Amino acid sequence: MFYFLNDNIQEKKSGIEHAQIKRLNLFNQFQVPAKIVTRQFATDLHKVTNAAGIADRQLINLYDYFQGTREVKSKKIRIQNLRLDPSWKRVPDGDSYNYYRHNNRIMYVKRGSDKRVQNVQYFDHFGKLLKVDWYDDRGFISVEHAYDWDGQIATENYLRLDGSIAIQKSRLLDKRGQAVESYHLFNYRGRSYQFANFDELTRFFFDELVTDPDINDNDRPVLITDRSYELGWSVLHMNQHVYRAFQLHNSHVNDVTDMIHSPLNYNYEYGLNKFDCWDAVISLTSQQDRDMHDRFGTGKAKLFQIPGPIVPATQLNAPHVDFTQRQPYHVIMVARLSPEKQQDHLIRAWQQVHEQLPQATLDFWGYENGDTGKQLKQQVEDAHLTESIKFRGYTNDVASVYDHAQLSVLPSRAEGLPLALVEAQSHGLPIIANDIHYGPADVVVDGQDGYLTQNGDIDGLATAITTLLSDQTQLAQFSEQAYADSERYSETNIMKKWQNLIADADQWYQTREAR
Amino acid sequence: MYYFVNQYILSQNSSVEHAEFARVKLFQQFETPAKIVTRDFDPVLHSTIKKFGLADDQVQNMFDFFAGTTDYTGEPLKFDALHLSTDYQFTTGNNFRTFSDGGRTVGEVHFAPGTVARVRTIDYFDGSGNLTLREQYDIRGFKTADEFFGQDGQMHYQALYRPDQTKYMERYYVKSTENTPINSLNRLINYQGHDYYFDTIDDLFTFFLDQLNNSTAEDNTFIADRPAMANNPVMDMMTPAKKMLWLPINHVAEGNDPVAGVLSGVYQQALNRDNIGRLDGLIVMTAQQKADLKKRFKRQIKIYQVSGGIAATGESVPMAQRQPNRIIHVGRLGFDKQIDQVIQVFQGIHDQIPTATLTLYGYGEGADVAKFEEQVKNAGLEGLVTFAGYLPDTSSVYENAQLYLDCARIDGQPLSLVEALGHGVPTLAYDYPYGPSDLITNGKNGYLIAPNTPTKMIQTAVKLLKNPARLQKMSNQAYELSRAVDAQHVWKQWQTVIKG
Repeated sequence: MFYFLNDNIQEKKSGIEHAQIKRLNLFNQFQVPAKIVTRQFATDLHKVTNAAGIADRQLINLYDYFQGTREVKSKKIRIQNLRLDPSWKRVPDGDSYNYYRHNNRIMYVKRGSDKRVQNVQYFDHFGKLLKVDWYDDRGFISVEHAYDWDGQIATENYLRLDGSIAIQKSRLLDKRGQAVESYHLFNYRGRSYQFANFDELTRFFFDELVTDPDINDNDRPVLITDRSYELGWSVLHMNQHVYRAFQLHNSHVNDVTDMIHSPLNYNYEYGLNKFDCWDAVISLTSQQDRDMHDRFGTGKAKLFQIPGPIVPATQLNAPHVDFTQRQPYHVIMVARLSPEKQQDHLIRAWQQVHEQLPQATLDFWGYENGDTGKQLKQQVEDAHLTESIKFRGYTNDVASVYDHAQLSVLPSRAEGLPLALVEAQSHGLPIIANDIHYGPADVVVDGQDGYLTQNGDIDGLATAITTLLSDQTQLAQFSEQAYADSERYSETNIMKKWQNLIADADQWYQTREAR
Repeated sequence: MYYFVNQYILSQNSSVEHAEFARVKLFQQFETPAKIVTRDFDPVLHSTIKKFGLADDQVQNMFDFFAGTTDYTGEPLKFDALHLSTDYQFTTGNNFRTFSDGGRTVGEVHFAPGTVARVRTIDYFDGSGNLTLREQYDIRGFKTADEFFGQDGQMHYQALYRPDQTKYMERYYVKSTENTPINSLNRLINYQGHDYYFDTIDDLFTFFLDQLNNSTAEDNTFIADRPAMANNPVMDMMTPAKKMLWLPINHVAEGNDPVAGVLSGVYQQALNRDNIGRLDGLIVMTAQQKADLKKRFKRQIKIYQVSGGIAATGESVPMAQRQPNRIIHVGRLGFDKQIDQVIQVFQGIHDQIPTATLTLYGYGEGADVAKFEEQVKNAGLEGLVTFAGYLPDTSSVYENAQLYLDCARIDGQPLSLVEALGHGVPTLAYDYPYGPSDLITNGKNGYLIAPNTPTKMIQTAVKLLKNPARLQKMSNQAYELSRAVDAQHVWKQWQTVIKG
């Protein structure tokens, strides 16, 4: 049984979540048992994961696991399902209601626009908020937030379907005023536990998962740790010794000019400092794989290279978009608005592109990180490019974005192996990308389906874009070649790579069991 | 059914509770259904009441009522039966055991007093030592509450459970201006299909009394015993029942005119012109108080007299079988009870009768008791005056005593005076309202002494103790006169209430 370990899955997904979902679909297709594991709580978790195509039985959330709510038939909780006193005075507040008794507000029932009850808030006759019962989207009270004397949520009780408390999360300050979150597990398989922090609870959760026959199906557990920054401590402190793999999703160093001595990317620092504790470490690209061998080749963990992005057969077999149907001179960049993606470089280059090809347009797709979006929009305004450059935000239909553009650009300074590049290529989009660590060189075949540019070379980037857009015939040829080159990321080809790791895990278990 | 309405029954009780214990047993003796009703949440209630000879069906607690656990039986949870993570290391201890995970203290298991490793509470702490959770265990072996603590170390939320661990009530606490907890909301969950919300425990208690009244088809009588907390809820009941107040104390403060003087604070609301009509009667313990109240309220309300104390009717114990010159006092050790004068009187007696001893039975505030102990020390009476503490049952101590002293200033009827006389102990008491003059026939079973005249009491005591024949005669008369307040006679007094 493969466990893809994550911290959280939200509506807005990063490349890591997308990679996990694609990997799950791949494993399903090849009938290798696998589940996605998350640990953060949300009342709409299953709405998000179902929308992402993850079946409830393949999702194990920490809270769900202890609350016994992994698979619950959804029902709509309406106001008439609550035991409200008809003598209370009801005053509407949008879709929600305030309830008054003796002129004191006693309750607030918050509803969504779909009339579902989202939460119920309890007040005392002094007007103080005492407790909020939060409803899961599936129609049961999933957590109660109790407010202490100072109005802080000091206690969160996560409930089972029978209303009993499964987990108490307490949040109090220590002497330095720092929040200490401790967790009490009530009557779990007949025992009680208190955990000093979330990582300790997570550690316990992982140990339970790999020994729970209902979850594990009597299979040998294999852990793929996709977020080692959040989860590495818990995985490496498990009592159960199972096969533990650590998946890199980005460049593992800060300074790519010194692969051997550079300080490590903080996301991977803990995990790589404990290199010998892992059974496998997975790089995304062949280039990263070489760098990992150079630096860690003598360590105990085995090194593997497996790309995250996967092009499904349906996409490979789909009819190619007629190049004439694409919007002429339309360029896209699909990436979070974030400093390392260097949208600002593209905007600077675009000034030159715009002078040469005033008909060219550029759309930025992706959600904003911090205030980078604001800065970029200001930059576009200052450069008087608002006519040709648009910010489109996050989309759930990125396929249609790819199918309507003529060129995709990625001027990042660092990457792991960008999903957007592989996806763009599978939709027949020529690509111009900086030849950085890591990814573009593993996707773009320079001069055949796009160009690799040098990071920081704005003029070079502008020239590459202008040159390619100016020759529409060649651009059409590049597009056809892009469709062909994306075969490298087919399901069959990626699964072949995974088979290497599966074989290693089998070998690992056989050796242990023989002892 | 007769309900005697009170707040709690503790391991050490005042005469309000002791009068109730005697009364509920009297009703049982005469086959008339009666129960003591208590309000407060108390996980050890059902072991406490056994110490006072009460059965589970003689006490109806409010939380038991809503949890459905009034007659629940079960053994206390053993420490060994606790299912805590096997990762924890436990210390050993008689009163509590601490458990830790590596060096971090995880929690403490506290044991029920007077038991060997029977679980009472478990406290859990976070990594920086904050109390985060307290689990309360009922002495009958189930978790009865989870209590949650906030930043200031105070409980803000309490969830109450039935034995099957379903939740029947939530209670919330907020900060008062004095930084003390105020119970600001009580939520009764799914009671007969509804949720109910109560701002105060008084509101909840009133609702409970109505539910209790409705739970049987009988005509019920509710008698409020502890005035400060029971008067209003009993009076505010919505359902029809006989509602009465029992007056365990004098209705006016010391020195005030009993007929025209201002009422004691705890009675001002219940007995004012607007409310008194909502009551069906007042019960007082002495004829004197009844007479004063009749003058005061005229025909506004019926007033009954029923002795609170019920004299025992056992074999007589002759003076010769008692410890010579053993003097006792039974009751709370407080300055309002003038225990300092009891000691002072004893000092005077001892000057003339060196074999005399004084034993004081009862609890008191630590600071008060310390002062009395200091007084004893300064008077050089150490070893002669004994602070014997509180006993659930005092009948045996009376039977070994030769003289009882009471130097109080005010009361409704001192229970211990009834008990002392009932066990043949001659009694010297200041003649304060109410009690001594109803119980003591001067010169027959004891002496009434003018209040705050210790010298007079010393002289009287010395004279009596030096005359064994007279002492024995007084003891005989104490037994004899006590028949007026034995079970048969007190039950006869109750008939006036029951038939009235």
